[in-house]
Amino acid sequence: MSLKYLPEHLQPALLALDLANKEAKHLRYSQTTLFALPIDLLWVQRLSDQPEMAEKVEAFVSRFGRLQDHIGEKLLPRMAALVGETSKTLLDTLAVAERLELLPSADAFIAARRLRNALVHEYMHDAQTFLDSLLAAQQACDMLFEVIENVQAEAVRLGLPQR
Amino acid sequence: MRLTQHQITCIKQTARAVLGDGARVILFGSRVDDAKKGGDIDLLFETDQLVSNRAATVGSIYVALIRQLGDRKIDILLKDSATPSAPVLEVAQQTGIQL
Repeated sequence: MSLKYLPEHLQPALLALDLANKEAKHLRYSQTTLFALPIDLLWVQRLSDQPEMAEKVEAFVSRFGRLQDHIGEKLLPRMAALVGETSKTLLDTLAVAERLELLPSADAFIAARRLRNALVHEYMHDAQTFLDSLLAAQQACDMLFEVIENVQAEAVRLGLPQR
Repeated sequence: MRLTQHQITCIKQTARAVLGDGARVILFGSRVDDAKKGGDIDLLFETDQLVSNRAATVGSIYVALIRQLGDRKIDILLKDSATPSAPVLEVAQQTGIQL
């Protein structure tokens, strides 16, 4: 039986998937514990005076950003390379990933990339936008988890050795 | 100001498409300075209307700009009729250039 993938790209793809799963586990923990809190406008306005909460937000934002970078810069390009698709830029990669049905929406992925900036700076001066961004990031987490599940399913479909 | 005519056109069209005809855009930060090189594109989008979900709207502007200008560092502020005043907005208005 012939291989459905390029074996020279196997190892990097498997490593990227493994790391994505580990990072996702940490992000899921931050997502679950953060959004169990009663987050509303007042909560955001009080954030400056609650260093422990602000730190929790920072952990969430940092894990969110890290997983997103990893998916965009490593996991998706390596999965694309595995099936013989080359992509030079992030936009290329996202278009390929959308076509391979690994990514539900390239636009949603791009929009989620700027949330990190919003979440680092905005609670200092615009509580409402910060709150909107935080809630958007909660949803965007689920999109990132979905990408990893899709990649996992594709790995099974391609018959990649399971780790 | 260090933006090409094409970039300016894309930015203004995006402002109109997302925020409507009355929208204004100010370029601020390092791109205002002709002597510098590279750097983020810092943009303040202003409208007199009330924007219902500012985060989602900024997201739409960002996606439209990345799609047209390529993947680059673009920082977007949005000021609508309900945005509280903030030092960063005042600096952008005072030191920036309206496109």
